Amino acid sequence: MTIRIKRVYDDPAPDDGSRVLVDRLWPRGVSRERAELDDWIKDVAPSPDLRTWWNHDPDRIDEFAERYRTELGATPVTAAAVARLRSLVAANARTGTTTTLVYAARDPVVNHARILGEYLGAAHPESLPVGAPPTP
Amino acid sequence: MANDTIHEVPAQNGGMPNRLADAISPYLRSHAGNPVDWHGWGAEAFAEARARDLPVLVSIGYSTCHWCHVMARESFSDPVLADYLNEHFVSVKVDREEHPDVDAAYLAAASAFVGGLGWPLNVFVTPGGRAFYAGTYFPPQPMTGHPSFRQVLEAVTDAWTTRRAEVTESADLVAAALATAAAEATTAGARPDAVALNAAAAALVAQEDPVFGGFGGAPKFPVAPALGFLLERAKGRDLALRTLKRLGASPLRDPIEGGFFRYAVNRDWSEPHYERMLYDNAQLLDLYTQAWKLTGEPWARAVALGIARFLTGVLALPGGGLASAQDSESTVDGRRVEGGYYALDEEARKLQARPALDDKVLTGWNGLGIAALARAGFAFDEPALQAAAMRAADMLLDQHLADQRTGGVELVRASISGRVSGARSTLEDYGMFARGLLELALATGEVRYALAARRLVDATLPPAQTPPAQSPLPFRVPNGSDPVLAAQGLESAVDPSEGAYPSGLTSIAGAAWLLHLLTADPRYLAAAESGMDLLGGQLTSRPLAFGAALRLSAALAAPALQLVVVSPDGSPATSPDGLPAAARRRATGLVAAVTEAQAKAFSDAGFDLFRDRTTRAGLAVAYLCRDFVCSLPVTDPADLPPGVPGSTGRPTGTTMGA
Repeated sequence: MTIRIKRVYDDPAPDDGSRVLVDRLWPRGVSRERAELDDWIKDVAPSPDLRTWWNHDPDRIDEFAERYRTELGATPVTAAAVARLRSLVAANARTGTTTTLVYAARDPVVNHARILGEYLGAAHPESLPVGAPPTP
Repeated sequence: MANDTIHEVPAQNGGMPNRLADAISPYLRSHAGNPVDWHGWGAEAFAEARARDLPVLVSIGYSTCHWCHVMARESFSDPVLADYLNEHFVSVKVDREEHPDVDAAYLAAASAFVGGLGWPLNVFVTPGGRAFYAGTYFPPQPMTGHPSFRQVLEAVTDAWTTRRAEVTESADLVAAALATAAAEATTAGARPDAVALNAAAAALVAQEDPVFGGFGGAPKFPVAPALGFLLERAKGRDLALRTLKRLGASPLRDPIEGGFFRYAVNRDWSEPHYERMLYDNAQLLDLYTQAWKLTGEPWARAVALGIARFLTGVLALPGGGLASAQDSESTVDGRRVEGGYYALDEEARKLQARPALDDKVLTGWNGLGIAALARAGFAFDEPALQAAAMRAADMLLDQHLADQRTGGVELVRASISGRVSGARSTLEDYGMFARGLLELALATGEVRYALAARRLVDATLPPAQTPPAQSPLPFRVPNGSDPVLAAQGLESAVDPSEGAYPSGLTSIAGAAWLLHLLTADPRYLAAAESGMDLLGGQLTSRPLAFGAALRLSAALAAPALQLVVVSPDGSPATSPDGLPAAARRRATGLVAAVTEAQAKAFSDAGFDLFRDRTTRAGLAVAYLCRDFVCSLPVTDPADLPPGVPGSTGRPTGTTMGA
């Protein structure tokens, strides 16, 4: 499966494939037409509390990433949003279509869309025999 | 009674047990005293949820799962939490060993919502059976970033009440995606060729822990199927032998009772988790038996016979079957401790109660035990082990084979003390039991076991006249899949995943292949090959997760060696240097040692490998064939070509798991 990320302020391109906005708030100064989105899944974005704590500080990106990944499975609503996005990525992959996660943040590295893309694209770890206990 | 079942829990709801009091599963019965109004698996729970417009909590575990018990003690025994659960949910308890199909279906669905799942597996499900949220162990109080179980329940209730459309829409999308993926999984891929098999073996070699042995870091499992694949290959055998030797000397093995614990929490094997599983010990017995045949090393023999002692002395039940597992906790001097029993020496142990057994008899796992005991008994010339295998096989044939009067074949999945579970049997049960019966037939010369095995495999094959387009799968469960899952659209046609033991598909394909070697019927070979075709490239991209399928694929890619030794009727096979003795030690290919009368019985029953196999001038005769093309019969063991797998440059092997 192919997952890319792209700023909403960059021009859409045909090879973006299916464009999905993954921010909680609509990006400033962009019209619906210009954004050319196929979907907007706002509940996969970091919670307002987490976003405020992080404040896009590059020095805290690792801790942000860890907290963000935990958040993605932490409530039924975020989990449902993740599942919806996963289904979309899988459906696109079957037709050879790229999924592009669209975001507004300035930095192409220091942003949640990159972490989300890695989370969705991560291969399932080599599975060991069943029953490894969860770590409480 | 305290020792009879796992964790007998006193009733916490005023002495009134819930619906689980009469369950077949000891794990379910251990929740019978909970104030939670548990349902067992079935349509009733979902009907109630529909009527009350509530979500269903499907809570899945098994008796030797440590954190399952912790959660039962901390949360499911709490009357306040139980009140909340009873008001806002319909709760279902499932033993994943009794219902592996339910577990697999919900685990697959739940994984789309939440990563990193394991057991206990708590899945939140719509009344229509669509999973929409899940988790594993939840603490009773919030812990560093982890919500408490109560908080999770409240969040689910909130989502169910205020955001239901979003939640159910995602659940429907996931269900549709899974159905599509299941359909694609039945599209034939390509079996790995010699190059791909070598690459898979090389990938496994690269994953070896060079310091402490085994694969990967922590937690560390023996991964018997992968070791079985490597043991049969020239490049890989050293690794497998090295690993087996190290495991046998490690704390993962209990040297007193001989059984292996399930896994170690750390890389150097020094801290085991103390539960002992039938499937691990059965597979390891077979590996150590094969290691002994290959090397003649005393350590391999000692470890093998120790495991056999554990199977026959600890897991064997008075009624004839083998128990599923033994618990990690036990009561030592009045205190419940994890692993405490195993810290005692032999004398001190005799004064304490043994850790409890999960004494439900599972058909498939018993099949693994029967195969291993039969083969070990044959190799080591220990009739007691073969007798133990026969007791288990006879018990299953008597009590787990239902509906014989209608001429149909229907296996029971599980029973306890003669009471039968309503859980549907799976391909695993048909495959592993049929394989066990075939190995027992070869080890004892008793054709009745081979006949029973053939009936089981035949029952899983589609009728001969079915056009392939209508039946893309080479095997099916004769009595259909679980009706509740089927009504929910969750019956997965093929679950190729392989955990600590072979998948249902690999098990039944392996049994069909062995049946082909005995009958020369091409239908069995074709079914086995199509079964492995379905797995395609997954085998070589994730070799650690597909050891048994790799082993069978390697066997299918190589010429099959078949050795039949026929002895005169009534002649004891005691001579240590005679042909029967050579057959016992032979490490390569299919091996059968039969009397002349037994050979005729096999031949008359349609097992063509035995046709016209007779003695000569009162002497035992060995018939060695390669893909049914046979060399001239020999009467002197010195004239038998050496039987070391890989010596032809090509892998062979008909040992269990292939």
